[in-house]
Amino acid sequence: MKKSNSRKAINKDFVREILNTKSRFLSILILVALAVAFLSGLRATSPDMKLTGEHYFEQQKLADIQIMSTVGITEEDFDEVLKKDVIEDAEATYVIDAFVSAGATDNVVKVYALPEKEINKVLILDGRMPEAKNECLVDEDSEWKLGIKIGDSIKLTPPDTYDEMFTVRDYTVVGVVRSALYISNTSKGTGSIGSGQIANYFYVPREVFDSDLYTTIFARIVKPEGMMAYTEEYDDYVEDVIDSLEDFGAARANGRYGSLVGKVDDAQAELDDAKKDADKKLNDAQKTLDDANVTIEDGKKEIADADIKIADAEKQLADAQKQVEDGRKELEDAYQELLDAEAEYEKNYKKFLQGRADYYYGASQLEAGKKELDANAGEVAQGKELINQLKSIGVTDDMITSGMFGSELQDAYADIQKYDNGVKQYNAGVAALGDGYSSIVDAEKQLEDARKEIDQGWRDYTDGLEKLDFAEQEIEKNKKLLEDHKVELADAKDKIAQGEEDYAKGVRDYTKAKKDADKEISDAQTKIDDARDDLSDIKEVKWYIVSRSYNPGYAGLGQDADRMGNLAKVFPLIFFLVAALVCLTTMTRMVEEQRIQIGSMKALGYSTWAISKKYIGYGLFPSLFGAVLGLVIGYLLFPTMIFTAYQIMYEIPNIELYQYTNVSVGCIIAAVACTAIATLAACLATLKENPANLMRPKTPTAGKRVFLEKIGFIWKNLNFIQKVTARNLFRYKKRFWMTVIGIGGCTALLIAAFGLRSSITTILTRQYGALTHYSAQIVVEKDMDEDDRQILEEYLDKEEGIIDYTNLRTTSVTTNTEKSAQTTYLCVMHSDEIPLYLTLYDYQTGEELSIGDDGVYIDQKLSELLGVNVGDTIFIDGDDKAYVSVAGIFEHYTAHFAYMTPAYYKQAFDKEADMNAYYMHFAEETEEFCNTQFENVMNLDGVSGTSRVQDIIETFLDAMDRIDFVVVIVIISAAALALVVLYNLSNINITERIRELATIKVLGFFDNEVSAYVYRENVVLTVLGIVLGIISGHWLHVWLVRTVEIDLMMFGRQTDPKAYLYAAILTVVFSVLANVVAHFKMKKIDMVESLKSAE
Amino acid sequence: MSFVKFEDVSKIYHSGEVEIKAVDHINFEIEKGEFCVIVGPSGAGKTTVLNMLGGMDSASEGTITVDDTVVSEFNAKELTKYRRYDVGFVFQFYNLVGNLTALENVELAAQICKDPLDASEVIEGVGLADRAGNFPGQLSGGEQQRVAIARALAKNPKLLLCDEPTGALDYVTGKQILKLLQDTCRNEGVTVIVITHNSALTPMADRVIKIKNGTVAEMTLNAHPTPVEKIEW
Repeated sequence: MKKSNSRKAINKDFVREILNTKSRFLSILILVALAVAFLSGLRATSPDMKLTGEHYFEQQKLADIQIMSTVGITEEDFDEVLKKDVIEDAEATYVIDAFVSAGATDNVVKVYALPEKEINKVLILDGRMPEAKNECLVDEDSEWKLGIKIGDSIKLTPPDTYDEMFTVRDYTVVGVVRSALYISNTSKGTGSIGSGQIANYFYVPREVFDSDLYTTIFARIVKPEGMMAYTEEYDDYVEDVIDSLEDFGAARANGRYGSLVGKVDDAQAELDDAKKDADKKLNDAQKTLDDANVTIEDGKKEIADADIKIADAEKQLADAQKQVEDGRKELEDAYQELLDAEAEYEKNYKKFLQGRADYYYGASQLEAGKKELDANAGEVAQGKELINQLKSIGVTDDMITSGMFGSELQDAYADIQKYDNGVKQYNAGVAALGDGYSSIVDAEKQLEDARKEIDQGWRDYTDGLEKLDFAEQEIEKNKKLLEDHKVELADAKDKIAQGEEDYAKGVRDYTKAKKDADKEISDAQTKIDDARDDLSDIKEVKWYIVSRSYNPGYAGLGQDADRMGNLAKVFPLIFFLVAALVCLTTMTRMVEEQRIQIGSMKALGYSTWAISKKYIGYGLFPSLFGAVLGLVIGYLLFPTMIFTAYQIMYEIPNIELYQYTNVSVGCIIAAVACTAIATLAACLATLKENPANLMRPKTPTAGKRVFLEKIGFIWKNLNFIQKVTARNLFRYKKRFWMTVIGIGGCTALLIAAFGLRSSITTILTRQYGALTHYSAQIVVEKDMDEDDRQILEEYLDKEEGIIDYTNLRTTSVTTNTEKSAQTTYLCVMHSDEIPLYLTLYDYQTGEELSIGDDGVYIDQKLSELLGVNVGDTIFIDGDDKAYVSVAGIFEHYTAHFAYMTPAYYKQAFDKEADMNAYYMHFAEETEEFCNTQFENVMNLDGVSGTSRVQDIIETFLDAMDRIDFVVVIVIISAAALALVVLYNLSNINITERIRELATIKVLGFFDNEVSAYVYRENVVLTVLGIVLGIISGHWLHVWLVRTVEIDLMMFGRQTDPKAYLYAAILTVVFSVLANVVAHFKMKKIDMVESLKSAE
Repeated sequence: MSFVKFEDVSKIYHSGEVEIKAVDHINFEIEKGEFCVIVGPSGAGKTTVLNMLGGMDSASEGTITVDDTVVSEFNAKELTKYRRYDVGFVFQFYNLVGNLTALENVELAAQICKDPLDASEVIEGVGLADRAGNFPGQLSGGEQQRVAIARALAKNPKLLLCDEPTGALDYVTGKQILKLLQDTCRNEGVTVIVITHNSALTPMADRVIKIKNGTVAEMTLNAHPTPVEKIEW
């Protein structure tokens, strides 16, 4: 027989073997491919990410180091830097923080001068490079973050420090740019102004900056060939370079500081001289002014005296005038009196003349009466006699008058009476005439006196008039004199006023000059003091030389890659181990199954190698093939899928895919070792026996009582079939453990994967479902004035869409302990308001925490990062700085928060907490509703920002989707593994026991009874595997969460019961699937064939 | 009507394009309670006959009747039932379940039958009362074969089919096994069919069927079978 034929025979045997056992062959291939793909894929992701970064950085010539100085960087400094050997190239440039106003809000952006050298090159993603000084470039996040697009006009306002050097404020956006300095779209680093958070980065033409001092030097260092970013050697190398530049930097900085101090001193001296000079000039001026002032004052006094005199004189004149007028009035009165007296006199004189005439007429009348009387005297005397007689008889007058004695008597009596009366009248007339006479005489005399008096009156009157006229003349004369004086005085006054004006002007000029001089001097002094302060504020006069880790996102990408690396370290290994275990068992089984054939071959004289190579080949083939397939899938699929997810957070080009020889070789060796080498070992062990033994059935493993039989009460209560099952389980220990570990491993992988997924979703459901309740937050300006605040609060009160609101103070601070420093939001809120907007649960007990005045309450993750517990102290470093004590730790998932009451704030920081934000509930959570509310609020003065919880959730959902995606990959991989493992295990189980199964078939067991015979064991094994999987899955999950978690986020720490459930259900489903397949396999078992030969 | 009847039964195996006639239009009958030996050289088709008779294999052509039932027309399920209730098998390599004790191996068969014999009694009957609790690995070949016979008998079968039951046993032990089979046939009235290539055994049978090239070459009835003890080979 030809040699080649025998080779052919063996080859045929080999091919037939494979064809006859396709499912075994395929399961090994798939298992190896899966495990290798998973391992190589996850392992490659981390270096792929780093390499992609490295190439991007190199392509963009990202600076290795960045130099900043507390005292500015001069051209000379820059020249010195360039001279350094370690510096490959460098560019001195300008980087400042500035406020950008676009739309309603002010945000802080980093403004870079466009590079002129090949350092930190920028990629224009859209638009063009600036061509004019007032054109700028914005980063790719500007549109969604700030709403700034190409063509927009924006205004950049630098802080005072850069006020002078930043010469252009208004820009037109001409392009969208990407810089390797920024690779994270979530973090753009921190700045020194505004909220402290940099929102975006802009590039402006270099000519915009006008200053002798640069802010920054970007430098690329001379690196050994092939040194790459994100490697320890690179980090160390850069660190060494930075160390080596430290002294140089210190020297440059100190030199500059010295010259700054010198300048300040010179300026002070100059100022002092100038001050002296100015003082002297001012003093002279002051003296002149004082003299002038004295003169003016004297003049004023004289004028005042003169004024008084004139006033006196005027008064005197007025008095005199009055006297004259009084005199005239008196004279007038006197004249009237005189006229009256004249009239009286005239009247009296007429009366006198009348009286005298009356007297003479009376006297004549009297004479006539006397004559008559005398005529009647006789008769009357008779009559009297008679009557007297009568009367003497007693006749009364009445009787006479009554006519008793006749009318004659009566008449007589009347005559008598008449006569008597006449006499009487005459007598009275004589007496009266006598009186009249004397009164006429008197009256005459009186008239004469009156005349005399009146005449005297007239004389006096005339005299008076003369005198008054004279007096008036005198007054007129004086008046004229006075007027003259007055005119003189007015002149004097004018002069004084002029003098005063001149003086006032002089004083004004002086004051102004003095003020100006003072201001100039104090300004200069302030400047000098400021400069001195600034200098003394510079706690460290130094250059800051920092590596790329200072770039926002740079370290993040590395960390994310490392995290992937961590994940790739152990997780796929477990995966690999499960697969390997199954492959190994499969191959060992195969060798054992073919014991007789091996024996025959050996008996035929085939060499060990000739016999083994079939089995080794059988193992080698699928494992090699599977490994290569796995490597291809792994290297291509996993990094691409995972990085696509990460690209949401990182602004870098698409991932570059690489193969890693160590991983590839490792995978292949591991795969081959697990199958081929295990096969070889099994072959060698088998071949040790002599052919005769091999061809005889292998002495069956002696049946044994299992320990369960010793426990009588359990054993007795088992039925026959259960006993068989129990004994079978305990007997085949290898299969038992292999199956339990295989199933357990798959379950654990699934639990970890599902658990990770739920841990991530927990962040959302728990954080925004149970912990954070408010709809939105608005932030107001730090120094919002009270009126604006009132207007805002009135609006919030009144607006129906806002259910309620509360105010709080929120600031970004750094919380520090010796262990770590973390960016944290410090929120100051009233403790009774907190539960309406947030629920804080104690991280251990799960009870709701109420915030007291006893300290700060921090989130769980922060407490872990800082390594603090309740009662410990942390240092808060921000606008306010203080040591505070931790009073409570609460459950929280996203970012870091520290809460305290205003009372504790006051106690800790020794000042009142200025509220600068509001939490509120909206009546509706829709976007339109929210936008309307925000627009309204933003239109009010003093409102500087708004944020909506729903937006945060959505952003977060986006980010989480990426991570979720990785997890889904893991779940699918784990599920695939579980399916293949279970299928293979059940396959092995059947092959291994085919004779036993054939026997019971012969005995007349129905197909389902045969299956049940095996299933009973499988059920127990699956259950045990799941139990093992749940225990190990829990730990795997805990480990995985800690590995994948980032500093700013806490994942759910509890393994979701659903994860166990899903994993168990999936395992059961796969198990059932595998068993269903097994059922049909068992149905097909050929009893005749199986029982024909001895085993 | 005979208890077992093969009428024109053929079994053809297809291997690729090659047709192999293992059994070629075979005809024979066996009466109830007989001890029958089927003898023939290797490859004559005797095992195929036995497998078809035992319901482990189906005939390609022809009719197999057992106790007035046409076995050759059974479907898989009916065949299983037939094996379960009517047939007991004894193999050359015993095919005991290694993980079960002697008694348990018997019970395994007994517990699926309608009317099984008591397992302990059967074990006692094959003379293994004191080894009932032992595992097959702890028993000698003869003892294992006894367990196999006990397992077959416990089912209380209509037919006891034995395929080279002594093939793996030494002379003495083989004789003991044959004795057990013969006694079983005589005492229990079970129809026993033994396959062997050893024609020395033929005198112990009631009926001897010689098979050659898939057909019956000769069938003889033994009016006076020789007890096993007296046979030498």
